[in-house]
Amino acid sequence: MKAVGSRLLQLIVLLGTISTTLFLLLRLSGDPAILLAGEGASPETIDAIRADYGFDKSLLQQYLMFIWDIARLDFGRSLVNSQPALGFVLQYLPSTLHLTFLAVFFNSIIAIPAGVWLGAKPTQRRRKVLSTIVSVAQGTPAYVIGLLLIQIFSVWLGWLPSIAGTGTWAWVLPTATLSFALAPNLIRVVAASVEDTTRQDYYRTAKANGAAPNVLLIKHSLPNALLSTTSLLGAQFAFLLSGALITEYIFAWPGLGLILVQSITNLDFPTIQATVFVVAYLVFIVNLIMDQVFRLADPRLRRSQL
Amino acid sequence: MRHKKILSATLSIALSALMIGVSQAPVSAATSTITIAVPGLPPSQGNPFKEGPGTPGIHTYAAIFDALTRVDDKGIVRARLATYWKTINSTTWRFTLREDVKFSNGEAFNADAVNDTIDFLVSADGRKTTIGSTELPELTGAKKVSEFVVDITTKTPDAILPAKLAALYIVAPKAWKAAGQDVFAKAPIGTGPYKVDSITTTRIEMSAFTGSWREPKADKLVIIPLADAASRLQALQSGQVNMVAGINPDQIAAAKKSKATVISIPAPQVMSLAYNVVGGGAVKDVRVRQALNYAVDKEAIANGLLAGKGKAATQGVTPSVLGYNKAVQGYPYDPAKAKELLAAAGYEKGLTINADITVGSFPSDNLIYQSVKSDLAKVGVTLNYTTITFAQWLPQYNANSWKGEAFGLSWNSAPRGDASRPYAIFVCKPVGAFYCNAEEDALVKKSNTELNAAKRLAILKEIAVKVTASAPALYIVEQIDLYAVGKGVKGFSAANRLIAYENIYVR
Repeated sequence: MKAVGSRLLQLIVLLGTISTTLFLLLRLSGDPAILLAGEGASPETIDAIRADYGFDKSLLQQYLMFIWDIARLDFGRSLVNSQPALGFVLQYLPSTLHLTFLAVFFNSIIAIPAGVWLGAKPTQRRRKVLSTIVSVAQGTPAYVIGLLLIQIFSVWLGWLPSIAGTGTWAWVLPTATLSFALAPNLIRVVAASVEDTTRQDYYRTAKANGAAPNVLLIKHSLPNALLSTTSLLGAQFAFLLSGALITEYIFAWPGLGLILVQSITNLDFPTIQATVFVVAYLVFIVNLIMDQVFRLADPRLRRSQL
Repeated sequence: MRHKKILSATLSIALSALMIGVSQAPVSAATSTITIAVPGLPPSQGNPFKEGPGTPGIHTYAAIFDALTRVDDKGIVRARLATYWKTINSTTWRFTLREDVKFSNGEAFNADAVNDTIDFLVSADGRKTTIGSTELPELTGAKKVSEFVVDITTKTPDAILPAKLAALYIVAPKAWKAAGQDVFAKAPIGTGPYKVDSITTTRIEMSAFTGSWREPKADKLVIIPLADAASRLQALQSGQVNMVAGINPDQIAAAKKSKATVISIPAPQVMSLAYNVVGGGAVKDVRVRQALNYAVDKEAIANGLLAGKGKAATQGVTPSVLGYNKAVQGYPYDPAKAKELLAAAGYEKGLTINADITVGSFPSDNLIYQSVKSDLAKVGVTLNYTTITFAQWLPQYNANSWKGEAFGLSWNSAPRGDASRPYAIFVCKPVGAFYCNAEEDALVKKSNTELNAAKRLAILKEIAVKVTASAPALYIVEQIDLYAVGKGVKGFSAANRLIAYENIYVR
C-alpha cells in the first residue's frame, strides 16, 4: 500500500512538472490567436480570438485555470478542429500502441538471437562481418530505411502497401522500418552483455566443470545478458510511445507523433498538452512495468527495498 | 522457468496486437476509386472558413464545396454557383444563382443558402475565421431578392467582389445550423461532386454525389496526406494512388519513367525576399533594392531548379493574373550593374542582409534561397538567412517585428487571380507596414474602388510599373504547381489550384 502511494505521488509530481514546463514553453513559443486569425488579420480580430480562448488573461490566471482543468482531465478543445483535445488524442493511441508492440516484438526476435550469436564468439570472422554490418545499420536513419523498404517492396516488387489504412498488409512496412531501425542498437547491447558474461567467474567455473556450450549460453550467459536487454527494450518502447514520427510521416500513419507535430505546427496548445500528458503517463506506466520485470528477473532486486 | 513465462506473455501480447491489426484493417479500394496523395489535409477538417483559400484546404474543398465564382488560369472570373453578376450601386453587387443545384444532403441551393453563409461570415464568430477576417473583411451582408437572386453588400465600393467570392464556399444552411461549425467540420455538406464519408487526420474518404450539378465520373474519392514528397511519388509509382499533388522538379524524370504524366501549372505566386524598408538599414535605399534584383540570375534558377517550368519573375504578379503588365521587363541578370548601384549607394565594399525565411511551401524553395545567397555573394552581398516556421513567421509579418532587413514572402494572387491581393500587402498599413510609398498606396486604393474594368486594369498596370521600379522585394521566380497523374487516369485538370474532380476517372 505504501509502495502504491509512493508511485502515485511520483506520478502526480511527474505530470505536474511536465504540465507546468510545457505550459510555460508553449506560451513562449508564439501566439495561436495570430495563427488562427490568419495573414493580415486586424488586431481587433486577433484580440477577439484571444478572449475566446482565455489567452487575454494574465499568465498566472491562465496557469491556474490550466491546472484546474487538467486536474479534471479537461484539456479543452483543439484550437483547429474544435474537438475535445484528450478525446482526439486518445483516438490515435491504439494505432500507436499497436505499432509499438509489433515493432518491439519483431525487434526482439531479430536482435536477441543475433546479439547472442555475435556475443558468444565475437572474434569469429563471420561474426565480425555481421558486427560491421550492424554498426553501419545503426547509423542509418529510419527515414532512409522506410523509403528503401517502400522502394523495394511497394514500388519494385509490388508486394506490400506503404500507406496506412489500406489493409492488413499495411502494417508490415512501418513495423519492419521501426524494427530494423531499433534492432542494431539492441543487437550490440545483447552482444556486449553476452560477451561480458563469458568473462565472469561463474561462467568460467561452469566451463571448467565441463558444461556444454549451449548450457553455458542459455543457463549462464543469457539470463544475465537479458537484464541490460530488458532495460534497453523498455527505453525503446517508451521512445516509440512518444511517436515514431518519421515512420508516421512517410507512411501517413495515424499516431501520436504525427498528431504532436501537426499540433505544434498549428500552435494547437490543448492538443499538444493532451498528447504530452498521455505520453508521459504511458512512459511512467512502462517504467513501472519494467521495474517489476527487473524484480522478477533479478533476485538481488527482489531482496532489496526498491 | 520464470523467463519462459515472461517470454511467453510478451509473445502473446505481440501476437494479440497483430491479430487486432488484422481484424481492424479496412477493405481495399474499389476500381472506380480515385485516390490522390496531397502534402497535407486541412487542419480544420471540413470547416471551409477556418482555412485560407490556398493549400492545403483547396485540394479537399474543391471536391466538397462550390463558391459563387471561380477564377480561371487567365485571371477571368467564371460562373460557378452564380451565373451572372452586376453592380447595383457602389457597394452592392447582385448575383443570379444557378437553379439546378442541390446540396449532398438534399437541401436546395438558393438565395437563402447564400444569405445564411454570408450571415455567418459577418457574425462575430465568422469574423474570427480566416476567410471572414482576412479574405472578405469588407463584406457587410447579403439580402435575398428572389429565390435565385441575391444582393451582397460591402463596406466600401469593391471592384472585384465577384473574384474575391471565389474564396467563399457555400455550406448547406440547415446542416450548418443544426450541427454548428465544430460538428459540421466532421461531416461537411456542400454542392460539390463528392460527399464526405469520413474524415481523419490521415485520410478523407468520399462517395460520389450523383445529384451534384458537377456529377462525378468516379464512385469514390480518397484523399491521403503524405507530407514527404518522396513517399508521395513512391505511392504513385507503386499504384497505391492515382494522382499526386505537389511533386518536386527533381522528381519529374522518375515520375515519367514510371509512365506517369507530369502536369505543370503556373502558380499565381511570385516567390520573393521582401525588404523591411520601414525598418531602415541599407534596403531603405532604392538603389540597394534594385541592385539585389540585378544580382540574382533568376533565369538560371527557373531553368535549373524548377526544371524550366517556372519563369524568372519580372514583377510581383504572374501572367495569369489580372493586372500583369507584360511591358514590365523587371531586372535582368546584370551583376556589373548591381555592383555599380551598390557603389553609388555607398556599399562598394559590400553589405550584409539578414533575412528570415520559411521553406517547404514551394517546389525547390530551399535550393532557390541557396542559389540567391550564392549570387548575392558574387556582388559582395552576404545574405544570412534563418529558416523559421510559419508560426514564427506570421506574428512578425503581422506586426513588422522583423529583426533583419528582409524576409521570405510570396506575392500570392490566388484565388482571386487579381493583382490587388499582393499589392495590398505592400501598402502603408496602419499596423505592421514594412513598406510604404504614398503614390503607390493611393493607386492601390484607387484600384480597389474603380468599378470600370478597363480603367481599373490600367491602374493595376501602372502599379506594376511603379512597384517594380521601386523594388520593395527581390523578385525571384514565378512559381509552379506540379501534379503527377498515373497511367489510366483521365480527365485531370486544374486551374488556380482548383482541381476539377468531377471529370476525373480511371480507365
